[in-house]
Amino acid sequence: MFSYNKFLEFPVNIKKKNTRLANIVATQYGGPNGELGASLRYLSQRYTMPDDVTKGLLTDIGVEELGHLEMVGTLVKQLSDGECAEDWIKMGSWEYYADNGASVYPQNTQGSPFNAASIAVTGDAITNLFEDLAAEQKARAVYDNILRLSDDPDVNEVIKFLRQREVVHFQRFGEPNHTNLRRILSYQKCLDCSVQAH
Amino acid sequence: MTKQERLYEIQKCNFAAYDLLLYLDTHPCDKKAFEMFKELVEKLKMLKYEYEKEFGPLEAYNSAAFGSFKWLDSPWPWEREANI
Repeated sequence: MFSYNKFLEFPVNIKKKNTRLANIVATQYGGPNGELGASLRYLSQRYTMPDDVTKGLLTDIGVEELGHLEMVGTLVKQLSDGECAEDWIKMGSWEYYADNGASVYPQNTQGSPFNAASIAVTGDAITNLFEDLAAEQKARAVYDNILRLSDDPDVNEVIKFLRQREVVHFQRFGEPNHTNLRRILSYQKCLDCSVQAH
Repeated sequence: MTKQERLYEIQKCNFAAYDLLLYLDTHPCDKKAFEMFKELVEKLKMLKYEYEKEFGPLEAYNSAAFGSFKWLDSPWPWEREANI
């Protein structure tokens, strides 16, 4: 089970409201390369991982991603907190406001709701790890894009922290021993075959 | 130190411990890293315990140590007041 700590992994204190930026940042909440997908990808893949290193790694990174989901949700909340319809119109994000009001919803920048098609869980340990390496790079690239779009230093400080975590996770996902994983996988396949043969 | 500075100390310590946790997942035999991890976790426990005594629970079950149910007390982590 999970237990909750009543603090963010990294503080979020946004002084300037910006509903347009809230709309943009929301994509890292529920968009194709966002933190909801990240946590679901890793926490779902772990059920079929063959060794203790990858079971542990996917559990721990998956849990950290839930913390990042909370941080991105906090960014969206604080960027739009209490803003009225006129503010959303002025900033050009009235579509977001029409569906969600000034709240936090898992969608991409253009309103497509979270879609699990953006994650893959294959049952093949090595394929999963390559999926995870790619996912960390894609999330990092989106954070880079957001940094180029945002000039709010309070927001950027948080985005830079999240971006840096993608880099660390990418490093960690490259470290499990593929030779060892292949050995376990081929051994498992042999077992499956011998079961079928009988 | 203010309440917020105390919480920031917890966040720093928690972050360092979590980062080492991920490192240990792929380097479980690194004894030096494990020693650092143990020190950080010990420090984190102490910081959280001291903070909670003064400002209320950071984990729901820890609210059992208080005379009344303080778990619901604001601010919540996503509110600016918790991050100032």
